Amino acid sequence: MVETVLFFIFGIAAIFGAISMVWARNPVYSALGLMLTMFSIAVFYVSNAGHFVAAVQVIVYAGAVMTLFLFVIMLIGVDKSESRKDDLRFQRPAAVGLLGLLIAGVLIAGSAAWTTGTRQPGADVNGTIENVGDMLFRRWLLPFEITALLLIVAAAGAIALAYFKPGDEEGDAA
Amino acid sequence: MVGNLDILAIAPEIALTAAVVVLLLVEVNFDPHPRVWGGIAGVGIVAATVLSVFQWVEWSGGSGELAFSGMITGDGFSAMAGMVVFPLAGLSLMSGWRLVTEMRRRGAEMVSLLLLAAAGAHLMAASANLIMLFIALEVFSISLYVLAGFTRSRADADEAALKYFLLGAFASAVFLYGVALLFAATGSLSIYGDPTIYEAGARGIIRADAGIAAFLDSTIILEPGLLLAGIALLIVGLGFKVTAAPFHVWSPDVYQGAPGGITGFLAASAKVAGFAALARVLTVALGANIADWAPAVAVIAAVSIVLGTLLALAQTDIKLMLAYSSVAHAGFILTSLVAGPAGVAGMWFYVATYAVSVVAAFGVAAIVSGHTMGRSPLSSYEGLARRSPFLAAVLGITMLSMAGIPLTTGFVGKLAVFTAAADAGYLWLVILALVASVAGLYFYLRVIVLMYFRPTSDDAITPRVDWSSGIALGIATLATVLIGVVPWWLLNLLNDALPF
Amino acid sequence: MTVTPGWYMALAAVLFTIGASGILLRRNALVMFMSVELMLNAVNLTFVAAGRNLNVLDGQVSVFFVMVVAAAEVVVGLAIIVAVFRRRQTASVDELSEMRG
Repeated sequence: MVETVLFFIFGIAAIFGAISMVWARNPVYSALGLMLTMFSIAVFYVSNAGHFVAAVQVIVYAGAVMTLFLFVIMLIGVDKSESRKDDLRFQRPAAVGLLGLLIAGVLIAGSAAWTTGTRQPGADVNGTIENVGDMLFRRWLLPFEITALLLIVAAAGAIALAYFKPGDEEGDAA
Repeated sequence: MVGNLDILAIAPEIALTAAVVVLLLVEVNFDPHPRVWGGIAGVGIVAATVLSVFQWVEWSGGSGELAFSGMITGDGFSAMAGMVVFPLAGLSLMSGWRLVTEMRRRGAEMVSLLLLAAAGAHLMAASANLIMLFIALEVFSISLYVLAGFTRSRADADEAALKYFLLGAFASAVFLYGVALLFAATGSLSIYGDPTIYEAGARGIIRADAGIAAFLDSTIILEPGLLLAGIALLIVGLGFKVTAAPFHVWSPDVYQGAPGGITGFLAASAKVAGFAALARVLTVALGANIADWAPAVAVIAAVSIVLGTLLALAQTDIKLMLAYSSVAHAGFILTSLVAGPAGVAGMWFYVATYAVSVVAAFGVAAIVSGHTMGRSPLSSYEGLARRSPFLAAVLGITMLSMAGIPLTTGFVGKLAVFTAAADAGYLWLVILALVASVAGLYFYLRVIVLMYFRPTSDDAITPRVDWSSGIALGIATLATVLIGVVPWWLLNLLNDALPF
Repeated sequence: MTVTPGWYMALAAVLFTIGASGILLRRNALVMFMSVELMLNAVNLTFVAAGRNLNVLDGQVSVFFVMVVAAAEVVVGLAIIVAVFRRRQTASVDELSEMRG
């Protein structure tokens, strides 16, 4: 019962946040809408026994990532709200139509069966830090190591893109 | 837990990552001459290639192994991916070396990102788990986003990077949704499964994972809607990466906007890595459902071939022409995959030789119109044969190979691919592809006519070929001709490069 | 009325589509990028809900990895957007010169 109430409250909040993110002209409102959706999804993680990922969702996603977004929005300036005039008159309705087909397909497929894999026997999943850590450092050890590669790429890439030093490179036109 | 064979499976990545870390540390602390970066990167690439050869010796011909709890495979397929990708990275680095030195200190990051992209590409081919594949895909793509926007001398370079990034991230998200739906449909993320049962955990056992392939082999799914949606999204996501139509919209801008010295690598590595991943996922994980995905792949192949050829006909810039022709080539390569496992050897031949040609073609374009430059109009190739016979010969042979003229690799590749598709019963696709190949002759031969039979304009500059790009272009051309004349040993070799 | 994991997966499909429509309808690079993040969040919700239904923890571990990837993507993506902005003083994709496919 509690889960049903939570689902509807935060489900509506998540969809409202998502739509306002896409719709808002001002990027700050978009970021706030996305934050609302991310918090709602964190609640859903808890109802689905994902305690650790819920915490990470709030700290990393809604916290760090969205703060970065807001920082860049403020850096770039919020006064430039874009015009919504359509110059791709034909492509956009077609794209939206395709998306409609996609969601209809997934929902129809899902209404028949949302999971068709074999349900594993045993106690229900419980995503505590202990259990997730157990998985992470046993079966998922290699992907965990490869994320280090990903972080080197991100660090080197950010330095390469953001390293502005006058006179130290080819025709610094910026 | 972690055995020697486990380490061998990721040994090339270890070599490349070690080279990257050493390179970055040396650069920061000693600010050496760019030659030092080149030396370190060269050692890393040679080591990775040699280790891939070791992998080949150990695993080729269907005697593969799973390593790291079913996360990665060591088999002929992944070894072959290494033996293609790492030399390709070396060739690209040599042909783009002028660009690296022009970047001054930022050149070190450029070399590191190129090495990391190569590592990611090999991991994509070796992944035996869809989340592992996703992480490898991101290591690879994020490096390429940065490389595409590396120069700051032109506005269209960072715009190309932005466009590439937004569409690439979108494609990754679509791919990941496909993975999630496949997980829901099969109950597993692992292609081959993880036979290990971990007993001693604090919370009891982690159960063995049957794997997607085994599940689909043994189970008839009564409501396959979710599975089909997942397969469709996977194909769309990877179709973006390999520039198959209609998911190719980013490639012309990116190939024209990115710094010339690196474009060849962007184009070639994306094809190799994307098709390797696609081949393993489709033929192994979804091998039991070939009747579901093969028609979809055939349609995408047909659309790519037709659209790519038609759009390439209209271009007046050689990079745009190469971009659209790469869409058509993506279609030709997809043609081999409709045959399932029987087409994998043909796919390898086509992908590997096309990648070499594309590096050579963009290498010539970079010399003719500048290493940091994007645009390369066809008019600047008029009379190139008189100004630089070497470059004209390289580009000419590359064009002949891409057009599929006999005695070049392009012909053998097309032959292998079309035979596989015809054997699988897709005759309509083969006929369509043959017609498109003939139409394609026009725009490939036009370049040759421009170079050899047009007078050079008076103000045209004589392009200067530096020794490192000269060697790289020479190797690429030699490989195109030699393998084109005697392809049989390579074709035989590739029969052992199947996923196990 | 009991909420099954299928409901969450349906909600995730709706969120994914809203995110994808953001990519297709908006021209502001930052909003387009946020739409990608929304899509990744929807996928994460799918992973967790499906994992609960299948009674395996791999779904939640995948979410963890997706978050790492998304964080790395954000770093590089925002760096690219800032680099473009420094040159052009705009974040609108339409104002970028002749960049159309």
